Amino acid sequence: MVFKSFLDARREGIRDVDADLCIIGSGAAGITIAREFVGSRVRVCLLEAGGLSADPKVADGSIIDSVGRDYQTWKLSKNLSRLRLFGGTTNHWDGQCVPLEPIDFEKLDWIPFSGWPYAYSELEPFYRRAHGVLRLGEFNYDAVRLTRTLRLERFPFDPSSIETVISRYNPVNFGLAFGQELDGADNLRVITYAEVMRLNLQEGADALSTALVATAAGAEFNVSAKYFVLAAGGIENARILLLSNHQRSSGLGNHSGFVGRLFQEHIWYPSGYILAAKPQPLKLYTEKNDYGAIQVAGHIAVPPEKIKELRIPRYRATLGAFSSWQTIRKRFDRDLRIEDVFVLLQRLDQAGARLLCDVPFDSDLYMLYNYVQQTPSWSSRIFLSDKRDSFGRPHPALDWQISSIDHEGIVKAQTLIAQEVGRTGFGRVKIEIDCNPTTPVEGCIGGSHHMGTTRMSDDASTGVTDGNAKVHHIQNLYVAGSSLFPTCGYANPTLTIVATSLRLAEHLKSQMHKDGLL
Amino acid sequence: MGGITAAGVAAYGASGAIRVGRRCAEFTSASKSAQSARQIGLAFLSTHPNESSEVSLLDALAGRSLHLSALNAAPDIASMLSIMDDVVREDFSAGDTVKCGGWILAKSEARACALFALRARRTA
Repeated sequence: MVFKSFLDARREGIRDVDADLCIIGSGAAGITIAREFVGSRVRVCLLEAGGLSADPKVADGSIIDSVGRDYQTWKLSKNLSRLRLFGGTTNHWDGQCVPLEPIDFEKLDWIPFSGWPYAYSELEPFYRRAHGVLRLGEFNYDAVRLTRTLRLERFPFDPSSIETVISRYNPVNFGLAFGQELDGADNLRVITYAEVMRLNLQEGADALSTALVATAAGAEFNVSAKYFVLAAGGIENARILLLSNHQRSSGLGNHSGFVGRLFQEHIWYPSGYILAAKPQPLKLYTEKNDYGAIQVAGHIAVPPEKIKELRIPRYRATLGAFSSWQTIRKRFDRDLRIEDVFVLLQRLDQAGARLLCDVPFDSDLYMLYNYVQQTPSWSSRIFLSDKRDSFGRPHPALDWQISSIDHEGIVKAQTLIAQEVGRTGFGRVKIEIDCNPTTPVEGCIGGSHHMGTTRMSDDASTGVTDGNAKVHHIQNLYVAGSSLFPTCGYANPTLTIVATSLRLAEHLKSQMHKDGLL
Repeated sequence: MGGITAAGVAAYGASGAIRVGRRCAEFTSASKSAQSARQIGLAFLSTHPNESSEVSLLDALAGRSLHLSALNAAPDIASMLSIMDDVVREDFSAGDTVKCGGWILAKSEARACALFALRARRTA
């Protein structure tokens, strides 16, 4: 990528910058907000800690010092779950998009700290706009309609017990997709290799004056702005607020101790199997299927009313089909064997041919990749480590803690799946998760989704920002991204990140109209 | 030969397909399915010691829409299970299930296998 107007802060000569709007972070949130002001009278400065391509010299800024529970993610190394380059983690995401549902915004008495400061209906118009940004086509996740159009089979389950839900996939790399647009904007300046060291309050006022920025070359400069937006990701947003503790000793926005607290991930835990009574490939669930310019795939989930009845966190499972009986035999030749269960399904002839001779087969056996909402836990948190990066700043430390209700939720959801699989004659289910664990969901990994660390709440005593994402007690500091989410549902966060960022941009515009900036 | 799939023939050729057919015949033998039913039955009995007699199992199965006499007279497990389809689905609808070796089974089918296992032990 080459963008002529972008400034590299490592070069000599960068002086203090004055802007109307300073956005810290150029991932999905930061670029979405920046684009909303392109061509306007608002002078925007977009700061990115990395460069235009992956640079190992800045990588130590992405280090997470993990304490407590072992934190592993989809990307294998936890330090790759954050990317310091233009476009942020959109440089390596798989494009999976799912909206939250109305239940995800409700206060549920078995989910601590649940309840967004606004309802789903408030965000829906922005979800529709986010579909345009992410080039996802119509805002429609109706599984029945989509599967009819695609002529794909769904599981024959009662949707009031186990429903099919849809993901849309379009991996938009925000740097590649929107870099030219930002490069050509006269009112916008992107500065790369700009590490924000701390945020400074105006003397004696509840408003930010500047962001102090450092460069690898050893230089420093200030960005002053009328409005600041922290859009650096769910871990970095909390880190920057905590680092800014020279004027308020607990950091900015941390009046009630919530900055960094309630860290949530999506819990990913492969466990459990569906054995089909007759072979039937269910491509909807095991593959991404072409759908115009995008792809779609299905998953099974516990529907909202059943979630309320069972009082569990939101649950979804992706399915994987086995292609080799040898693999299955290695996993299954203990306890009650799969070939024994075939007797119940009266599949004696097919089982014999395939199982004993390792003949390739259509999908008979589906593995359950459980993908679960993490219940907010006060002890699950980001804080400042004793270890420091090359700029002398403390690394973010992560103490990832998972509640027993998250484990119980998987057990109850899988029991429900087993009942539905048996009731419909589809087959039988094997549950492998320990029903009485010492450690909840031991061995699970995270989805590289960092959420909840600067939660929204209209009550300043229970949140970092208000419903407009403005940091409590600071007039001109806002937060964008998944750190805002009080709860996360099972929805992959990017679509909601873009939607909430569009909503924040609208709010900023209305404030700027009042201020005469727009 | 029963049980040979097109995939098997494609994968293994004619001689391979014959081998598959022979293995298939082994697997579909009454003795193989009886062995499997016994495994399920024993797994059920290990966690339900209060139902470890043929009488108690038949009592538990009584009152369902089953012809107990037909169940009693069934010569093999396949015949037993084939008359239980509706009852099995009712069990799943009602959440009347049991975990055997990790597998979630209808209580009725697990009981039928347990009954089969006890009879096999008795007649051995």
